[in-house]
Amino acid sequence: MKPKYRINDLEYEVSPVRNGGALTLEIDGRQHLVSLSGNENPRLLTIDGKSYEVFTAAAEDQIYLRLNNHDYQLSAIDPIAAAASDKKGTDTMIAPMPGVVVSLAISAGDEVKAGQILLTIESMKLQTAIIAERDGVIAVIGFKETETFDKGAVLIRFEDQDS
Amino acid sequence: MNRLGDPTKLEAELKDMDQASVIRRVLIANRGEIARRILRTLKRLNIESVVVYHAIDKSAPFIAEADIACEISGDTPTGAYLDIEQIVEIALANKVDAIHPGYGFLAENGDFADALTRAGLCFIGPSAATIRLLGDKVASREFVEEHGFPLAPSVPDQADETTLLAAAEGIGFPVLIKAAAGGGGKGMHIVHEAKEFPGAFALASSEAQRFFGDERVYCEKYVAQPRHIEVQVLADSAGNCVHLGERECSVQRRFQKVIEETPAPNLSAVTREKICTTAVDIAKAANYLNAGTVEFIMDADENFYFLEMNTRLQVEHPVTEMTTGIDLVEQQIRVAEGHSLPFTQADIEFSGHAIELRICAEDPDNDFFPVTGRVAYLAEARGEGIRVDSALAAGSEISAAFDPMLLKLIAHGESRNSARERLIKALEEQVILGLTTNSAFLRRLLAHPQFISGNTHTHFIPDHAESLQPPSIDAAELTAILAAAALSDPKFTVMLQRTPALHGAIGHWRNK
Repeated sequence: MKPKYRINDLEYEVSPVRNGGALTLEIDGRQHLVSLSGNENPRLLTIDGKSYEVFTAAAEDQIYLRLNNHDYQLSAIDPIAAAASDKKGTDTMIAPMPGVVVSLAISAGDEVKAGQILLTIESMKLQTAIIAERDGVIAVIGFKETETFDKGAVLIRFEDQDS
Repeated sequence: MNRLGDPTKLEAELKDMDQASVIRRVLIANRGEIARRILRTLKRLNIESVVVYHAIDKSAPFIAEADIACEISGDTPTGAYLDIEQIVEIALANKVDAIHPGYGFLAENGDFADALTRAGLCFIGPSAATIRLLGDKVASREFVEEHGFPLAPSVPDQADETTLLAAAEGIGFPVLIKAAAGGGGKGMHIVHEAKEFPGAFALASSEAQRFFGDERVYCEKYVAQPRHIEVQVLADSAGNCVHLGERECSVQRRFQKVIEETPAPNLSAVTREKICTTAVDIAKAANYLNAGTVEFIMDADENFYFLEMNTRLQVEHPVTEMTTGIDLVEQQIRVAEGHSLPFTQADIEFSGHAIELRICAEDPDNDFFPVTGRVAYLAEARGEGIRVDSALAAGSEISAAFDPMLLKLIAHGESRNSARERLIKALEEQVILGLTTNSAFLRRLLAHPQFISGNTHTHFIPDHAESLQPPSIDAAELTAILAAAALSDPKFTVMLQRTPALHGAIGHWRNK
C-alpha cells in the first residue's frame, strides 16, 4: 500500500520512485525530484529545482511543518488502521474542542430525549451545553465533573439504537 | 543632577528610605509567562524568588528559574492557584516578605489581600478595600458615577432576570450582560434582542459563579464599534499618582484581546491628555495604591466612558514598558516597600510605538477553538526592538487546564509602521511546531489595510472575517508540503532505507 498523508481533510499518496542518482517522489500521481537537507531546523527542501526553507517535526503519526510562513499539520495514514474504522455516527457525542466538564445532567443508564441537556462543558472561558441529538439510553459517560478532555474525546456514548 | 547642591531632594530621599521596608524574598502566586517575567525583574533587583506550581506544569521553565519552587495541589490545576490557605502557608513556611499575584487567579481577590495582611505578609498591589471597590463592576461604576466621571448607560443594580430584562429594554438593545465581580473578558454576553436574554442571562450567571464565586450579573448599553482604550496608572502611599500613557486594545475576539499597542493610533492629542488625566483622577479619587489600569470604551467621536478598573498588572503591560523605559514590576515592588515614586508626571518620557501580539494555542480556522498538544520544536524571535515573554520550552505540554496563551511577542519601533514591520518579521522567526497557533492569522491581521491605517475597533475581527481568511494553498505549495511531510516522516525514511531498489536513488553507501 502506498503511504498517504492527510491535510485539511484530503488525502494524498506519496511514494518513492527510483530515478537516476537523486530521489524522485510520486506525489498525488505526479513525479518530482526532491531533496530535504539536514536533520536540524531550518532545513532546505528542494523540489523540481525550487527551494524552500522549512521547519519540521514529527510526533506519533503527526507531521508538523512550517513552510512559506504557514504552519501545517499532516496525519500519516496507516492504511490498515484506516480500514477498520470506528462506527461512530449518532451513538457518540464527541467533544468539539478541549475543555473541562462543568456539570453532568444525567447518569449512565438514564433514558434521554432529543434536545435534552446532557452536560455542560467549559472552554475558552465560555460554557456550552451538550444536547442529545436523539432519544436514547446513556451507556457511558466519558468524564467526571472537573475532568479535562481533548478535542475529539468521547463525552457520551449511547447504547446501540438496534439494541 | 547634582545631589550635593539640592538639599531638599536629598532630604526627601532620606525620609523616603526611613519609611520604606525592604522586600528580600517574593512569592509569585502565578505561572507561565508572567511568572517568568516577574522572575526576570526579581533577579535583576537581587530579590529571592519562590514559585508555586501544579504537577501538570512540572517541566515548565518558570520552575527552574526560581530560587525555590513548591508544588501546590487542588481539585483542578486552576483550583490550586485559587487556594488561598495553601499559598499563605507556603509563603510563611518559606519566610517570604511579599507576594506578587501576577494577573488572573487571586490578583484581584480582596480575601487574598486580607489573608496576606493577617499573616503579616505584603501583597504587592492595592489594599483589599480598594480591590473590592474597584473589582466589583457594579460598585466601581457607582463610585465613578458619584464622582462625576463619564460612564456608559447601564442598569445601576444587579438584579434578577425579569428586572434586568425590563431595564435592558429601557436602555435599548443591544446590551451586554456582565458578571458583577468579573473581569478579563469572562462571563460576558452580548444580547441583541429580548428573546436571547434568558439564555444569555443563565450562561452569564453560571460563568460568574464559576469564575468569580459570585453569580450577580448586570447589564449595560453595548456601544457599537467601540475602541477599547485603557490607561496605565501608578500610585504610591504618599498620594502621588502618575499615568504611563494609554494603550489601544481594540482588536479582540470573544472579548479577549488579541493585539495591544501604544500609543493609540489616530487619537487626538487633546483626547489623549484628557483620557490619561481622567484615569489619574479616578485613581486618586479611590486613593489607589500601586499599579493599575483604567479601561474605557471610546466611540467614533472620541467620547469615552469608564468601563472598569483592573487593580493589577495587565497582560499587555510590556508595550508601556517599551515606550517609557520603566519596569512596572520594579515600580510595583518599590511602592510595596513604601517608597515614593521616583518620577513625576513631567519626568515620564514616551518614545516610539510598541505593539504586542498574544500567540495562543487555538485554531483560527475553527472559530478559534483552543487546541492541546506538545511543543515538538521551538525557535524564538530575536531582533532589534523585539521582546518575547514566553511560557514555552521545547517539549512543553499544553493542556486544557490553563489559558491557551503561549507567549507574547512585542515589537518597538520609532513609528507605528516600523513596530508593525518588526513584528511581522518576528512572527516569521517565531516557530512553534506541534500544535495549531494563531500565528499566521496574526500575520494577516498585521498586514490588513485597515489595521495599517489604524482603524481598529472591537468588531475588527468579525467585520473583516472574510479578508482575514487564510489564502488557499496552491498546487506547487501543496506538493512541496507533501514532499516535506513524507521526508520528515520517520516511517517513510525508514522505508526508503529498507527498500533495496532505492538505495542507489538516495545515494547510500552500499556497504553501510
